[in-house]
Amino acid sequence: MSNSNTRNPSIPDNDANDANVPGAILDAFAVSVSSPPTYADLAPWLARYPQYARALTDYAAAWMLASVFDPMPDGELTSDPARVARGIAIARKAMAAAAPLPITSLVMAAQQTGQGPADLAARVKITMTIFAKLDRRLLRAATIPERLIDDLAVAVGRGAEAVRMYLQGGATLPAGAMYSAASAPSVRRGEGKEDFFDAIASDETMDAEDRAAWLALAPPSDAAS
Amino acid sequence: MPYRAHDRPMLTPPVVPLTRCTEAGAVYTRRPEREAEIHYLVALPTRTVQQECLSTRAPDDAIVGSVSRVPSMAEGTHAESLAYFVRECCHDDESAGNWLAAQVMARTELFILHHLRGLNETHREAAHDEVIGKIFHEMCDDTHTSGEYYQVSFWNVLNRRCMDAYKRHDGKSRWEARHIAHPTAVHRSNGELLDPLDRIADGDPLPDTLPGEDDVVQRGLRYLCTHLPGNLTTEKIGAFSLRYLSDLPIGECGKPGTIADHYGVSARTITNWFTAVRDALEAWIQEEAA
Repeated sequence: MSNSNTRNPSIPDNDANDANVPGAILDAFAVSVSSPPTYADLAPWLARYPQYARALTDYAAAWMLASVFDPMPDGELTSDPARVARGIAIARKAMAAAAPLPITSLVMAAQQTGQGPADLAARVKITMTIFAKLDRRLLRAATIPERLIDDLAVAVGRGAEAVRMYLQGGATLPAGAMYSAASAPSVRRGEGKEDFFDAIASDETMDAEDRAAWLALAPPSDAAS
Repeated sequence: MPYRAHDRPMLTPPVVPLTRCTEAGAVYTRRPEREAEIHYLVALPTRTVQQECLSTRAPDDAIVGSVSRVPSMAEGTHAESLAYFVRECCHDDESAGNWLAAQVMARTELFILHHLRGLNETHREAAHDEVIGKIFHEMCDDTHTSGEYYQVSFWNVLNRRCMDAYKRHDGKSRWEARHIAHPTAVHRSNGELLDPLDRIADGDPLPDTLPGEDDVVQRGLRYLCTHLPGNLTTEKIGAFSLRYLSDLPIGECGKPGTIADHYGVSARTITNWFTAVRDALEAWIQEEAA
Protein backbone atom coordinates (compact mmCIF):
# COMPACT_ATOMS: atom_id res chain seq x y z
CA MET A 1 0.00 0.00 0.00
CA SER A 2 1.17 3.46 -0.70
CA ASN A 3 0.76 6.57 1.31
CA SER A 4 -0.42 10.08 1.03
CA ASN A 5 0.28 13.26 2.84
CA THR A 6 -1.98 12.28 5.73
CA ARG A 7 0.82 9.91 6.52
CA ASN A 8 3.59 12.37 6.17
CA PRO A 9 3.03 15.71 7.84
CA SER A 10 6.08 17.12 6.14
CA ILE A 11 4.18 17.32 2.89
CA PRO A 12 1.74 20.21 2.70
CA ASP A 13 -1.87 19.69 1.75
CA ASN A 14 -1.18 20.28 -1.87
CA ASP A 15 2.02 19.94 -3.73
CA ALA A 16 4.29 22.91 -3.39
CA ASN A 17 3.63 25.91 -5.60
CA ASP A 18 0.81 24.25 -7.49
CA ALA A 19 -0.92 27.59 -7.81
CA ASN A 20 2.00 28.80 -9.89
CA VAL A 21 1.96 25.92 -12.32
CA PRO A 22 -0.43 26.31 -15.25
CA GLY A 23 -0.60 22.54 -15.69
CA ALA A 24 -1.75 22.10 -12.12
CA ILE A 25 -4.46 24.71 -12.60
CA LEU A 26 -5.66 22.96 -15.74
CA ASP A 27 -5.68 19.64 -13.89
CA ALA A 28 -7.79 21.11 -11.12
CA PHE A 29 -10.13 22.61 -13.70
CA ALA A 30 -10.45 19.26 -15.48
CA VAL A 31 -11.39 17.51 -12.28
CA SER A 32 -13.84 20.15 -11.15
CA VAL A 33 -16.06 20.31 -14.20
CA SER A 34 -18.61 18.21 -15.88
CA SER A 35 -17.65 16.68 -19.17
CA PRO A 36 -17.52 18.58 -21.44
CA PRO A 37 -17.24 21.96 -19.73
CA THR A 38 -19.42 24.94 -20.46
CA TYR A 39 -18.71 28.62 -20.12
CA ALA A 40 -20.48 28.53 -16.76
CA ASP A 41 -17.81 26.08 -15.62
CA LEU A 42 -15.02 28.12 -17.10
CA ALA A 43 -15.97 31.63 -15.97
CA PRO A 44 -15.10 31.26 -12.25
CA TRP A 45 -11.70 29.88 -13.17
CA LEU A 46 -11.02 32.78 -15.50
CA ALA A 47 -11.83 35.16 -12.67
CA ARG A 48 -9.68 33.28 -10.18
CA TYR A 49 -6.68 32.84 -12.43
CA PRO A 50 -6.63 35.71 -14.90
CA GLN A 51 -2.95 35.05 -15.54
CA TYR A 52 -3.87 31.65 -16.94
CA ALA A 53 -7.09 32.69 -18.63
CA ARG A 54 -5.76 32.03 -22.10
CA ALA A 55 -4.50 28.57 -21.24
CA LEU A 56 -7.76 27.74 -19.54
CA THR A 57 -9.78 28.99 -22.49
CA ASP A 58 -7.71 27.13 -25.04
CA TYR A 59 -8.02 23.94 -23.08
CA ALA A 60 -11.74 24.31 -22.45
CA ALA A 61 -12.40 25.25 -26.08
CA ALA A 62 -10.51 22.23 -27.35
CA TRP A 63 -12.45 20.02 -24.99
CA MET A 64 -15.77 21.59 -25.95
CA LEU A 65 -15.12 21.23 -29.65
CA ALA A 66 -13.90 17.68 -29.32
CA SER A 67 -17.11 16.74 -27.57
CA VAL A 68 -19.14 18.18 -30.44
CA PHE A 69 -17.10 17.08 -33.41
CA ASP A 70 -15.24 14.06 -32.21
CA PRO A 71 -17.61 11.76 -30.35
CA MET A 72 -16.31 8.35 -29.41
CA PRO A 73 -17.53 6.04 -32.17
CA ASP A 74 -18.65 2.50 -31.54
CA GLY A 75 -16.49 -0.31 -32.85
CA GLU A 76 -14.24 1.80 -35.02
CA LEU A 77 -11.08 1.24 -33.04
CA THR A 78 -9.73 -2.15 -32.17
CA SER A 79 -7.45 -3.32 -29.46
CA ASP A 80 -3.98 -4.52 -30.34
CA PRO A 81 -2.51 -7.23 -28.06
CA ALA A 82 1.00 -6.01 -28.77
CA ARG A 83 0.05 -2.49 -27.73
CA VAL A 84 -1.60 -3.78 -24.57
CA ALA A 85 1.46 -5.83 -23.65
CA ARG A 86 3.69 -2.84 -24.27
CA GLY A 87 1.41 -0.66 -22.16
CA ILE A 88 1.48 -3.10 -19.28
CA ALA A 89 5.26 -3.16 -19.36
CA ILE A 90 5.36 0.64 -19.35
CA ALA A 91 2.87 0.76 -16.50
CA ARG A 92 4.90 -1.70 -14.47
CA LYS A 93 8.02 0.34 -15.01
CA ALA A 94 6.24 3.49 -13.86
CA MET A 95 4.85 1.69 -10.83
CA ALA A 96 8.25 0.31 -9.90
CA ALA A 97 9.81 3.76 -10.22
CA ALA A 98 7.30 5.27 -7.83
CA ALA A 99 9.02 4.56 -4.56
CA PRO A 100 6.86 4.72 -1.44
CA LEU A 101 7.54 7.26 1.24
CA PRO A 102 9.33 5.61 4.13
CA ILE A 103 7.61 4.98 7.43
CA THR A 104 9.21 7.15 10.08
CA SER A 105 7.53 5.58 13.09
CA LEU A 106 4.98 2.85 13.68
CA VAL A 107 3.31 5.01 16.30
CA MET A 108 2.95 7.82 13.78
CA ALA A 109 1.79 5.42 11.09
CA ALA A 110 -0.93 4.21 13.44
CA GLN A 111 -1.98 7.72 14.37
CA GLN A 112 -2.15 8.78 10.75
CA THR A 113 -4.74 6.10 10.12
CA GLY A 114 -6.77 7.12 13.13
CA GLN A 115 -5.51 4.43 15.50
CA GLY A 116 -3.66 4.59 18.76
CA PRO A 117 -0.60 2.39 19.29
CA ALA A 118 -2.60 0.13 21.61
CA ASP A 119 -5.31 -0.26 18.98
CA LEU A 120 -2.77 -1.22 16.38
CA ALA A 121 -1.00 -3.63 18.72
CA ALA A 122 -4.28 -5.34 19.61
CA ARG A 123 -5.25 -5.52 15.97
CA VAL A 124 -2.16 -7.47 15.00
CA LYS A 125 -2.27 -9.52 18.23
CA ILE A 126 0.87 -8.33 19.93
CA THR A 127 1.34 -6.60 23.25
CA MET A 128 2.37 -3.00 23.76
CA THR A 129 5.71 -4.28 24.97
CA ILE A 130 6.37 -5.97 21.63
CA PHE A 131 4.90 -3.05 19.74
CA ALA A 132 7.24 -0.65 21.52
CA LYS A 133 10.19 -2.85 20.64
CA LEU A 134 9.10 -2.95 17.02
CA ASP A 135 8.60 0.79 16.98
CA ARG A 136 12.09 1.36 18.37
CA ARG A 137 13.45 -1.33 16.08
CA LEU A 138 14.92 -3.31 18.93
CA LEU A 139 14.04 -6.66 17.35
CA ARG A 140 16.11 -8.32 14.68
CA ALA A 141 14.23 -7.77 11.46
CA ALA A 142 15.19 -11.14 10.04
CA THR A 143 13.37 -12.90 12.85
CA ILE A 144 10.10 -11.01 12.52
CA PRO A 145 7.47 -13.21 10.83
CA GLU A 146 6.18 -12.18 7.45
CA ARG A 147 2.69 -12.54 8.81
CA LEU A 148 3.25 -9.79 11.36
CA ILE A 149 4.81 -7.56 8.71
CA ASP A 150 1.84 -8.10 6.43
CA ASP A 151 -0.65 -7.50 9.22
CA LEU A 152 1.09 -4.30 10.26
CA ALA A 153 1.19 -3.16 6.64
CA VAL A 154 -2.51 -3.73 6.15
CA ALA A 155 -3.41 -2.20 9.49
CA VAL A 156 -1.59 1.05 8.75
CA GLY A 157 -2.52 1.06 5.07
CA ARG A 158 1.02 0.75 3.81
CA GLY A 159 2.98 -1.71 1.76
CA ALA A 160 4.70 -4.64 3.39
CA GLU A 161 7.95 -3.45 1.88
CA ALA A 162 7.64 -0.09 3.63
CA VAL A 163 7.10 -1.82 6.97
CA ARG A 164 9.98 -4.19 6.33
CA MET A 165 12.28 -1.33 5.44
CA TYR A 166 11.31 0.46 8.63
CA LEU A 167 11.94 -2.59 10.80
CA GLN A 168 15.35 -3.09 9.21
CA GLY A 169 16.49 0.36 10.31
CA GLY A 170 18.70 1.12 13.23
CA ALA A 171 17.37 1.05 16.77
CA THR A 172 16.06 4.33 18.09
CA LEU A 173 16.01 5.91 21.48
CA PRO A 174 12.74 6.24 23.37
CA ALA A 175 10.74 9.21 22.22
CA GLY A 176 10.73 12.05 24.70
CA ALA A 177 13.53 10.63 26.83
CA MET A 178 15.75 13.18 28.57
CA TYR A 179 19.50 12.83 29.06
CA SER A 180 21.92 14.54 31.34
CA ALA A 181 24.79 14.11 28.91
CA ALA A 182 25.78 17.02 26.71
CA SER A 183 24.62 15.14 23.64
CA ALA A 184 22.01 12.44 23.19
CA PRO A 185 23.37 8.91 23.38
CA SER A 186 23.31 6.89 20.22
CA VAL A 187 22.27 3.34 19.52
CA ARG A 188 24.65 1.34 17.41
CA ARG A 189 23.05 -0.17 14.37
CA GLY A 190 22.21 -3.85 14.90
CA GLU A 191 23.87 -4.04 18.28
CA GLY A 192 22.02 -5.92 20.96
CA LYS A 193 18.87 -6.49 18.95
CA GLU A 194 16.60 -9.15 20.31
CA ASP A 195 15.21 -12.17 18.49
CA PHE A 196 11.49 -11.69 17.88
CA PHE A 197 10.57 -15.11 19.25
CA ASP A 198 12.69 -14.62 22.35
CA ALA A 199 10.84 -11.38 22.94
CA ILE A 200 7.53 -13.16 22.54
CA ALA A 201 8.53 -15.98 24.85
CA SER A 202 9.69 -13.60 27.56
CA ASP A 203 6.70 -11.27 27.32
CA GLU A 204 4.62 -12.10 30.38
CA THR A 205 1.87 -9.70 29.40
CA MET A 206 0.99 -11.60 26.24
CA ASP A 207 -2.11 -13.74 26.05
CA ALA A 208 -1.15 -17.42 26.13
CA GLU A 209 -3.05 -18.21 22.96
CA ASP A 210 -1.44 -15.39 21.05
CA ARG A 211 1.98 -16.36 22.34
CA ALA A 212 1.48 -19.93 21.22
CA ALA A 213 0.32 -18.76 17.80
CA TRP A 214 3.41 -16.59 17.33
CA LEU A 215 5.81 -19.19 18.65
CA ALA A 216 4.33 -21.71 16.26
CA LEU A 217 5.81 -19.59 13.48
CA ALA A 218 9.29 -19.88 14.90
CA PRO A 219 11.75 -21.71 12.69
CA PRO A 220 12.63 -25.17 13.98
CA SER A 221 16.36 -24.44 14.21
CA ASP A 222 18.39 -21.28 14.82
CA ALA A 223 17.97 -20.27 11.19
CA ALA A 224 16.28 -17.07 12.21
CA SER A 225 19.29 -15.70 13.95
CA MET B 1 4.47 -25.07 4.70
CA PRO B 2 5.41 -21.54 3.69
CA TYR B 3 3.20 -18.71 4.74
CA ARG B 4 1.02 -17.50 1.88
CA ALA B 5 -0.37 -14.07 2.51
CA HIS B 6 -2.99 -14.23 -0.22
CA ASP B 7 -4.61 -17.39 1.06
CA ARG B 8 -5.48 -16.29 4.54
CA PRO B 9 -8.16 -13.82 5.57
CA MET B 10 -6.80 -10.30 5.42
CA LEU B 11 -7.18 -7.65 8.04
CA THR B 12 -9.45 -5.00 6.65
CA PRO B 13 -7.22 -2.04 5.87
CA PRO B 14 -8.58 1.44 6.29
CA VAL B 15 -9.71 3.14 3.10
CA VAL B 16 -7.17 5.86 2.60
CA PRO B 17 -8.90 9.23 2.42
CA LEU B 18 -8.10 11.83 -0.19
CA THR B 19 -5.96 14.70 0.96
CA ARG B 20 -5.74 16.92 -2.10
CA CYS B 21 -7.46 20.25 -1.51
CA THR B 22 -9.62 22.23 -3.88
CA GLU B 23 -8.91 25.86 -4.58
CA ALA B 24 -11.39 26.71 -1.84
CA GLY B 25 -9.40 24.68 0.65
CA ALA B 26 -11.82 21.77 0.95
CA VAL B 27 -10.51 18.26 0.50
CA TYR B 28 -11.60 16.60 -2.72
CA THR B 29 -14.09 13.82 -2.31
CA ARG B 30 -14.76 10.74 -4.34
CA ARG B 31 -18.24 10.35 -5.73
CA PRO B 32 -20.42 8.45 -3.23
CA GLU B 33 -20.83 5.38 -5.43
CA ARG B 34 -17.07 5.18 -5.94
CA GLU B 35 -16.47 5.55 -2.21
CA ALA B 36 -18.97 2.78 -1.49
CA GLU B 37 -17.40 0.58 -4.12
CA ILE B 38 -13.91 1.02 -2.66
CA HIS B 39 -15.11 0.27 0.87
CA TYR B 40 -16.85 -2.81 -0.41
CA LEU B 41 -13.80 -4.07 -2.26
CA VAL B 42 -11.35 -3.30 0.52
CA ALA B 43 -13.48 -5.29 2.95
CA LEU B 44 -13.45 -8.42 0.81
CA PRO B 45 -11.61 -11.20 2.59
CA THR B 46 -8.76 -12.05 0.28
CA ARG B 47 -6.72 -10.41 -2.40
CA THR B 48 -7.86 -13.03 -4.89
CA VAL B 49 -11.50 -12.18 -4.39
CA GLN B 50 -10.72 -8.49 -4.60
CA GLN B 51 -9.04 -9.00 -7.92
CA GLU B 52 -11.88 -11.05 -9.26
CA CYS B 53 -14.39 -8.42 -8.24
CA LEU B 54 -12.29 -5.63 -9.69
CA SER B 55 -12.12 -7.49 -12.97
CA THR B 56 -14.36 -6.51 -15.82
CA ARG B 57 -15.22 -10.15 -16.25
CA ALA B 58 -17.15 -11.88 -13.48
CA PRO B 59 -15.38 -15.22 -13.14
CA ASP B 60 -17.95 -17.47 -11.53
CA ASP B 61 -21.34 -17.62 -9.89
CA ALA B 62 -20.01 -16.97 -6.42
CA ILE B 63 -18.36 -13.78 -7.51
CA VAL B 64 -21.33 -12.72 -9.57
CA GLY B 65 -23.42 -13.01 -6.44
CA SER B 66 -21.14 -10.75 -4.45
CA VAL B 67 -20.61 -8.31 -7.27
CA SER B 68 -24.32 -7.84 -7.71
CA ARG B 69 -24.44 -6.15 -4.34
CA VAL B 70 -22.69 -3.20 -5.91
CA PRO B 71 -24.81 -2.51 -8.98
CA SER B 72 -22.25 -0.47 -10.86
CA MET B 73 -19.77 -3.32 -10.67
CA ALA B 74 -21.88 -5.54 -12.88
CA GLU B 75 -20.21 -3.87 -15.84
CA GLY B 76 -16.86 -3.54 -14.18
CA THR B 77 -15.47 -1.46 -11.39
CA HIS B 78 -15.44 2.29 -11.88
CA ALA B 79 -12.15 3.56 -13.22
CA GLU B 80 -11.86 5.86 -10.21
CA SER B 81 -12.02 2.86 -7.88
CA LEU B 82 -9.46 1.05 -9.97
CA ALA B 83 -7.22 4.11 -9.65
CA TYR B 84 -7.51 3.83 -5.87
CA PHE B 85 -6.19 0.28 -5.94
CA VAL B 86 -3.42 1.20 -8.35
CA ARG B 87 -2.26 3.93 -5.99
CA GLU B 88 -2.59 1.82 -2.87
CA CYS B 89 -1.25 -1.46 -4.24
CA CYS B 90 1.39 -0.35 -6.71
CA HIS B 91 4.16 -1.19 -4.27
CA ASP B 92 2.82 -4.68 -3.65
CA ASP B 93 4.01 -7.80 -5.35
CA GLU B 94 4.61 -8.05 -9.07
CA SER B 95 1.55 -10.14 -9.86
CA ALA B 96 -0.78 -7.57 -8.29
CA GLY B 97 0.95 -4.82 -10.24
CA ASN B 98 0.68 -6.72 -13.50
CA TRP B 99 -2.94 -7.47 -12.89
CA LEU B 100 -3.83 -3.87 -12.12
CA ALA B 101 -1.87 -2.61 -15.10
CA ALA B 102 -3.75 -5.03 -17.35
CA GLN B 103 -7.09 -3.85 -15.96
CA VAL B 104 -6.31 -0.21 -16.60
CA MET B 105 -4.98 -0.97 -20.07
CA ALA B 106 -8.14 -2.88 -20.94
CA ARG B 107 -10.25 0.14 -19.99
CA THR B 108 -8.16 2.92 -21.46
CA GLU B 109 -6.53 1.70 -24.65
CA LEU B 110 -9.29 2.63 -27.07
CA PHE B 111 -10.13 5.86 -25.26
CA ILE B 112 -6.54 7.00 -25.61
CA LEU B 113 -6.28 5.94 -29.23
CA HIS B 114 -9.47 7.77 -30.06
CA HIS B 115 -8.03 11.00 -28.73
CA LEU B 116 -4.78 10.51 -30.60
CA ARG B 117 -6.09 9.34 -33.95
CA GLY B 118 -5.31 12.62 -35.69
CA LEU B 119 -1.65 11.69 -35.38
CA ASN B 120 0.16 9.42 -37.80
CA GLU B 121 0.76 5.86 -36.63
CA THR B 122 4.26 6.40 -35.35
CA HIS B 123 3.33 9.42 -33.30
CA ARG B 124 0.07 7.87 -32.18
CA GLU B 125 1.74 4.80 -30.72
CA ALA B 126 4.46 6.88 -29.11
CA ALA B 127 1.89 9.25 -27.62
CA HIS B 128 -0.16 6.32 -26.38
CA ASP B 129 2.83 4.90 -24.53
CA GLU B 130 3.61 8.33 -23.17
CA VAL B 131 0.10 8.70 -21.76
CA ILE B 132 0.21 5.27 -20.14
CA GLY B 133 3.55 6.00 -18.51
CA LYS B 134 2.34 9.38 -17.32
CA ILE B 135 -0.91 8.24 -15.76
CA PHE B 136 0.69 5.31 -13.94
CA HIS B 137 3.48 7.48 -12.69
CA GLU B 138 0.98 10.00 -11.37
CA MET B 139 -1.38 7.44 -9.88
CA CYS B 140 1.49 5.82 -7.95
CA ASP B 141 3.54 8.84 -6.98
CA ASP B 142 3.21 9.12 -3.22
CA THR B 143 5.08 12.37 -3.12
CA HIS B 144 2.39 14.25 -5.06
CA THR B 145 -1.26 14.41 -4.15
CA SER B 146 -2.20 15.27 -7.72
CA GLY B 147 -2.34 11.51 -8.32
CA GLU B 148 -5.53 11.52 -6.31
CA TYR B 149 -7.30 13.30 -9.17
CA TYR B 150 -7.67 9.95 -10.87
CA GLN B 151 -9.90 8.83 -8.01
CA VAL B 152 -12.09 11.91 -8.40
CA SER B 153 -12.58 12.09 -12.15
CA PHE B 154 -10.49 9.53 -13.96
CA TRP B 155 -11.72 10.12 -17.49
CA ASN B 156 -11.44 13.89 -17.33
CA VAL B 157 -7.83 13.64 -16.20
CA LEU B 158 -7.07 11.01 -18.81
CA ASN B 159 -8.70 13.20 -21.43
CA ARG B 160 -6.39 16.02 -20.44
CA ARG B 161 -3.32 13.81 -20.58
CA CYS B 162 -4.34 12.68 -24.06
CA MET B 163 -4.77 16.26 -25.22
CA ASP B 164 -1.37 17.17 -23.85
CA ALA B 165 0.24 14.21 -25.57
CA TYR B 166 -1.49 15.09 -28.80
CA LYS B 167 -0.19 18.63 -28.68
CA ARG B 168 3.32 17.48 -27.93
CA HIS B 169 3.26 15.18 -30.91
CA ASP B 170 1.59 17.59 -33.24
CA GLY B 171 4.19 20.22 -34.02
CA LYS B 172 1.71 22.81 -35.12
CA SER B 173 -0.64 22.29 -32.19
CA ARG B 174 -3.58 22.25 -34.51
CA TRP B 175 -5.55 20.10 -32.17
CA GLU B 176 -8.94 21.56 -32.82
CA ALA B 177 -8.65 21.83 -36.56
CA ARG B 178 -7.44 18.27 -36.95
CA HIS B 179 -10.07 16.82 -34.68
CA ILE B 180 -13.12 18.63 -35.84
CA ALA B 181 -12.25 18.00 -39.47
CA HIS B 182 -11.70 14.30 -38.98
CA PRO B 183 -13.83 12.40 -41.49
CA THR B 184 -15.15 9.95 -38.95
CA ALA B 185 -16.93 12.82 -37.26
CA VAL B 186 -19.60 12.73 -39.99
CA HIS B 187 -22.92 11.51 -38.73
CA ARG B 188 -25.80 10.79 -40.99
CA SER B 189 -28.78 13.06 -40.61
CA ASN B 190 -32.31 11.84 -40.32
CA GLY B 191 -33.68 15.18 -41.46
CA GLU B 192 -35.58 15.93 -38.29
CA LEU B 193 -36.40 19.35 -36.90
CA LEU B 194 -35.84 22.43 -38.96
CA ASP B 195 -36.53 25.06 -36.39
CA PRO B 196 -33.24 25.22 -34.47
CA LEU B 197 -31.91 27.79 -36.86
CA ASP B 198 -34.94 29.94 -36.34
CA ARG B 199 -33.80 30.31 -32.79
CA ILE B 200 -30.37 31.44 -33.81
CA ALA B 201 -30.87 35.10 -34.37
CA ASP B 202 -28.62 37.24 -36.49
CA GLY B 203 -25.45 38.08 -34.61
CA ASP B 204 -25.54 38.48 -30.85
CA PRO B 205 -27.32 38.29 -28.45
CA LEU B 206 -27.72 34.58 -28.86
CA PRO B 207 -30.09 32.18 -27.22
CA ASP B 208 -28.74 30.85 -23.94
CA THR B 209 -29.29 27.29 -24.98
CA LEU B 210 -30.87 25.28 -27.71
CA PRO B 211 -32.71 22.76 -25.55
CA GLY B 212 -33.47 19.48 -27.21
CA GLU B 213 -32.20 20.63 -30.53
CA ASP B 214 -28.48 20.57 -30.05
CA ASP B 215 -28.28 17.29 -31.86
CA VAL B 216 -29.55 18.74 -35.14
CA VAL B 217 -27.17 21.66 -34.93
CA GLN B 218 -24.32 19.38 -34.03
CA ARG B 219 -25.00 17.05 -36.91
CA GLY B 220 -25.16 19.99 -39.24
CA LEU B 221 -21.91 21.40 -37.92
CA ARG B 222 -20.19 18.05 -38.29
CA TYR B 223 -21.34 17.86 -41.86
CA LEU B 224 -20.04 21.34 -42.58
CA CYS B 225 -16.71 20.52 -40.94
CA THR B 226 -16.12 17.56 -43.17
CA HIS B 227 -17.29 19.23 -46.36
CA LEU B 228 -16.36 22.86 -45.75
CA PRO B 229 -18.72 24.31 -48.38
CA GLY B 230 -18.07 27.78 -49.79
CA ASN B 231 -15.55 29.75 -47.80
CA LEU B 232 -16.14 27.98 -44.53
CA THR B 233 -13.17 26.98 -42.40
CA THR B 234 -12.90 24.80 -39.33
CA GLU B 235 -12.11 27.92 -37.32
CA LYS B 236 -15.41 29.53 -38.32
CA ILE B 237 -17.37 26.43 -37.46
CA GLY B 238 -15.44 25.98 -34.22
CA ALA B 239 -16.18 29.56 -33.18
CA PHE B 240 -19.83 29.11 -33.97
CA SER B 241 -19.93 25.93 -31.91
CA LEU B 242 -18.25 27.51 -28.94
CA ARG B 243 -20.85 30.23 -28.92
CA TYR B 244 -23.97 28.23 -29.56
CA LEU B 245 -23.19 24.95 -27.91
CA SER B 246 -20.82 25.94 -25.11
CA ASP B 247 -21.98 29.50 -24.49
CA LEU B 248 -18.55 31.10 -24.75
CA PRO B 249 -18.92 34.87 -25.22
CA ILE B 250 -17.72 36.58 -28.40
CA GLY B 251 -15.89 39.23 -26.42
CA GLU B 252 -12.96 40.87 -28.09
CA CYS B 253 -9.43 40.10 -29.08
CA GLY B 254 -7.14 40.57 -26.10
CA LYS B 255 -9.78 39.56 -23.60
CA PRO B 256 -9.02 36.00 -22.49
CA GLY B 257 -11.93 33.67 -22.10
CA THR B 258 -13.65 34.90 -25.24
CA ILE B 259 -14.05 33.52 -28.72
CA ALA B 260 -12.50 36.54 -30.38
CA ASP B 261 -9.40 36.24 -28.27
CA HIS B 262 -9.21 32.50 -28.70
CA TYR B 263 -9.05 32.89 -32.46
CA GLY B 264 -7.15 36.16 -32.39
CA VAL B 265 -9.64 38.14 -34.47
CA SER B 266 -12.05 41.00 -33.88
CA ALA B 267 -15.59 40.62 -32.62
CA ARG B 268 -16.85 41.85 -35.98
CA THR B 269 -14.97 39.09 -37.74
CA ILE B 270 -16.46 36.54 -35.39
CA THR B 271 -19.95 37.86 -36.13
CA ASN B 272 -19.26 37.58 -39.84
CA TRP B 273 -18.11 34.02 -39.33
CA PHE B 274 -21.36 33.26 -37.53
CA THR B 275 -23.36 34.59 -40.43
CA ALA B 276 -21.46 32.40 -42.87
CA VAL B 277 -21.90 29.30 -40.72
CA ARG B 278 -25.55 30.02 -40.10
CA ASP B 279 -26.21 30.40 -43.84
CA ALA B 280 -24.43 27.12 -44.52
CA LEU B 281 -26.41 25.41 -41.78
CA GLU B 282 -29.65 26.69 -43.23
CA ALA B 283 -28.71 25.31 -46.61
CA TRP B 284 -27.80 21.96 -45.08
CA ILE B 285 -31.08 21.68 -43.22
CA GLN B 286 -33.08 22.55 -46.32
CA GLU B 287 -31.12 19.99 -48.26
CA GLU B 288 -31.78 17.38 -45.61
CA ALA B 289 -35.46 18.20 -45.57
CA ALA B 290 -35.63 17.81 -49.34
